[in-house]
Amino acid sequence: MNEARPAIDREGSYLSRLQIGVATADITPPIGISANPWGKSKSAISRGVHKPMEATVTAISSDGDKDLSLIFGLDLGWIGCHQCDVVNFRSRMALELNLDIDSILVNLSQTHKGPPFCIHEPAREGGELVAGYIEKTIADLIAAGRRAMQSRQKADLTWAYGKCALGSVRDLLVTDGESTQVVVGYNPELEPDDTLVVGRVTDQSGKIILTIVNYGCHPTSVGWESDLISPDYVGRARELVVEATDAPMLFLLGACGNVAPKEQYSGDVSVADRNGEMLGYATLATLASMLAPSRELRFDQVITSGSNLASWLPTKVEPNELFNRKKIFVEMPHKELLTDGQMRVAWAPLTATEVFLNFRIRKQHEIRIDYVTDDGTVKHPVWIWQLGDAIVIAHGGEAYLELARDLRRRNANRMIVFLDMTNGPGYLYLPTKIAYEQNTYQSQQSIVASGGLEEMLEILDLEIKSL
Amino acid sequence: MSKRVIPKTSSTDLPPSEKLFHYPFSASLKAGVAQRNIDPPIGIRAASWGAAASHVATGLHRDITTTALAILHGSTPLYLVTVDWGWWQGVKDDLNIRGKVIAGLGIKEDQLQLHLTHTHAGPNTACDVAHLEGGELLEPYHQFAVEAMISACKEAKDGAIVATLTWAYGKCDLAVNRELPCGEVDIVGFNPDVAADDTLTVGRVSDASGKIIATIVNYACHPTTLAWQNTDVSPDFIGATRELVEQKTGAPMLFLQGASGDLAPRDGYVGDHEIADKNGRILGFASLAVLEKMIPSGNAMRFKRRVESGALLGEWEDFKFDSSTFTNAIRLDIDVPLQDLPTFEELEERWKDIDAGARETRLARARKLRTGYVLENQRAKHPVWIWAWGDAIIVGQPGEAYSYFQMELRRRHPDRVIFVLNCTNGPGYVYIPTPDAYTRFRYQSWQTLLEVGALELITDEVSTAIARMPKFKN
Repeated sequence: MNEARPAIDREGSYLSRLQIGVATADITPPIGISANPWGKSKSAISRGVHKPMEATVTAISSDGDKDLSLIFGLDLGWIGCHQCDVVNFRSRMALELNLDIDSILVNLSQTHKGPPFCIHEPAREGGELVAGYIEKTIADLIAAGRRAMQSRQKADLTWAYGKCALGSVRDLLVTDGESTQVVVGYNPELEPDDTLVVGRVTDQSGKIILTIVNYGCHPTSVGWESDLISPDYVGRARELVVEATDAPMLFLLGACGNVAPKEQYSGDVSVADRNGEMLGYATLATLASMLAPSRELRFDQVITSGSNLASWLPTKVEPNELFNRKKIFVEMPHKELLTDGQMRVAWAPLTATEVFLNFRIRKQHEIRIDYVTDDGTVKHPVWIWQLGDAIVIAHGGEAYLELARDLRRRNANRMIVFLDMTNGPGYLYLPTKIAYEQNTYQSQQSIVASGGLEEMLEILDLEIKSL
Repeated sequence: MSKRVIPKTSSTDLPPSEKLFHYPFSASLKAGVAQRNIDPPIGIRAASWGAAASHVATGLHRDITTTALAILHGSTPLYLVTVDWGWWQGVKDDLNIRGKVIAGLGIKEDQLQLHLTHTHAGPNTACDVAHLEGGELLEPYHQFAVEAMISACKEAKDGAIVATLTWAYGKCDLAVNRELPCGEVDIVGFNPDVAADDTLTVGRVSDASGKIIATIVNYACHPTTLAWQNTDVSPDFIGATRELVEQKTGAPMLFLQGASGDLAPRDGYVGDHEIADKNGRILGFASLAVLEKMIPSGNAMRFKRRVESGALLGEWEDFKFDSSTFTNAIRLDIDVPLQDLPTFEELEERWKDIDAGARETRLARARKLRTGYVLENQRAKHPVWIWAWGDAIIVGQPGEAYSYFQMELRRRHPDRVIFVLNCTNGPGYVYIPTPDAYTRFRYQSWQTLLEVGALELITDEVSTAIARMPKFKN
């Protein structure tokens, strides 16, 4: 045996060992409910179900209950209303489950083919079913949360980065004679971020009990011409992964402010299925690349066989058992806040109907609650949870892909799970400076001023480096 | 990556702008495919690893196959044939198979690219080892395989139909860099510190109804999952990849080994078949994701209109378009510099103290590698076959080029999809390494006959030839 050793003789894995429980609930709404939020749609009424809408919840704690926490992934669109999110929904769940509200992360997949989760949202038709659906769903989620908490067991989490080509950049510059506009659609010229994060949760026998999939891409495959309720691409991706692993899949939407499928707005749900297969297969490829739980690769020896070969062996290691949680507030300057009249003037030409315009104006007021301060800034809450070797960063906004991409670039040796659309307040777009310069839809929508995303990047980068 | 060309007028409410079209890379050609199982008999010679205790096959992990794709270049058929075998030791072995296939089909040499997937668990390809254990089974097996290749080619050609071929790049994380600094030299094994080329190139061949009739997967990664501990014949990771892709598409898959001189799976050198299958699933699922990314066969996308719907949306639509029907087939014989090679007498002197049998084996191997390749004055002619199929370029050559070769060709020609094949035809069955392989005394630099700079020279010549091929304008 050759005694020489390489300078690099190990490749670390991203590992966590925590108490983990899992539960799912079917949250498919009744057919007939308002589930076509597209301004362009002729009717809001749903007439069928493409694939079931699901809730997946994982309970996490170190030993004991003192830091018991829950992460929900829901096939729901958005809430964007302080009363319907913080007051009626998450505070109630926290109370019923005997948890602090900040111990619960609720990530919405942002499907555009589901019912509103806000009783104030103006449903054209099918609105009479919304309040009942929300009530039932909250009860079901509380029950699922309880099941997840009770099913906790010692589990190993193995994290890996993969790649998925589903998302494309959706800021498209179109010129019409003299005028130039940016519309929300596929731009073949801009490079998306293809980062996919996969977490495999296994019990102590090595059996998979949950797959976590974190990816940033608007679920907008299905557009206004379909009258089906649909989890969009997440549905088919989940089917593939669940079938292959025999365990639930928790989808967590990543930074997606400017990301959407290349093929989207379709009346044909098979487009959503094709998009879902891209994510599903990419997830399965990433799962296949993982070593067995609690293993990393270590150099073993030089083997003489024609040439000198390096033998590496998966070696048992102790996973990181750390579980820390914190909540920070990122202060960012906001734009001049518009009065109702100013909003009306500014948005009327861009908004399809009066009903939508009025709702948008109400939403602006909801966004400001517990968020806009007197000193010209917003206090944007961000939850930073350290799950062993993985760092979960969650916020309620829709960040441009550059935020997550640059955090990962600056911290290449860290496993970063980045969640958009999680908790609130802060239900707004976080576009880059250039998006403001181009006056994109997202920059018009946001009350955060240009430069906000860049400030948030610096603050989060420091937070990660301090861990 | 999309092709960007000035489109014809079509958008409904906007003047045309080149970025409002998205054309997939494609081709419209007459194509046919056929596949054969060519499982060898148990007990056949299968000696790929010096460290192995047995040099004969004791079982079969997964089927060994050959798959032929026939494309009509005018009225001339071009055959791309892939075989789950390892490598040629010399031109005599190569021609023992390829020469017979060419003769059997009655074609010219340059109409065939015979490609070996480079499995390190395949039956031997040598025709001069009948005297060694399991060697007596090689000749009848090789004859059987030749007949299978000929019949697959004939079936592919006779069944050729007008097909739409769609080309796309994807990514796959299976391969890692395999040059690990260890003391003064580099050894062959996983180096976590150097990034590997993760490019995956996929072709989809569909009939007029859109039904897939074949897929092509081109990826660079040494099939060295299974090593000296394994004594079963196996296509290595390619077996599970093929199973996944063929199950989903219902059509044969051609695997084409890329420029993988410096690339191998992270998890390798094992005897456990499951690790080979796991590696195969990484590539298989990645290939399926690329296939799902492709828009329906024969379609391109164009910006349709702006839609007022809450936000101002940009709606795109698919539309039928005519793919390129261009084909071309050229061969380059690139004049490459050789290292200062010792004479056979010098080699005999160098190895005079080792076991006589081992000395003869080494000398015979050295002779086989040089025969038909080495010319006078420290030069050789390295053959390269370059075929254009619509927007795709197929580059095949016999050596084991480093990934620099494919990365550089793809970087220089972003407006085409380039398939890069190692272990294709011959002679020139040598590593084509980067300069640092020589300075770090890597295995590849002492296996090869080529001098430093050959890789860059071959890359430049091939790149120039590609640049001279006409491009299709939509």
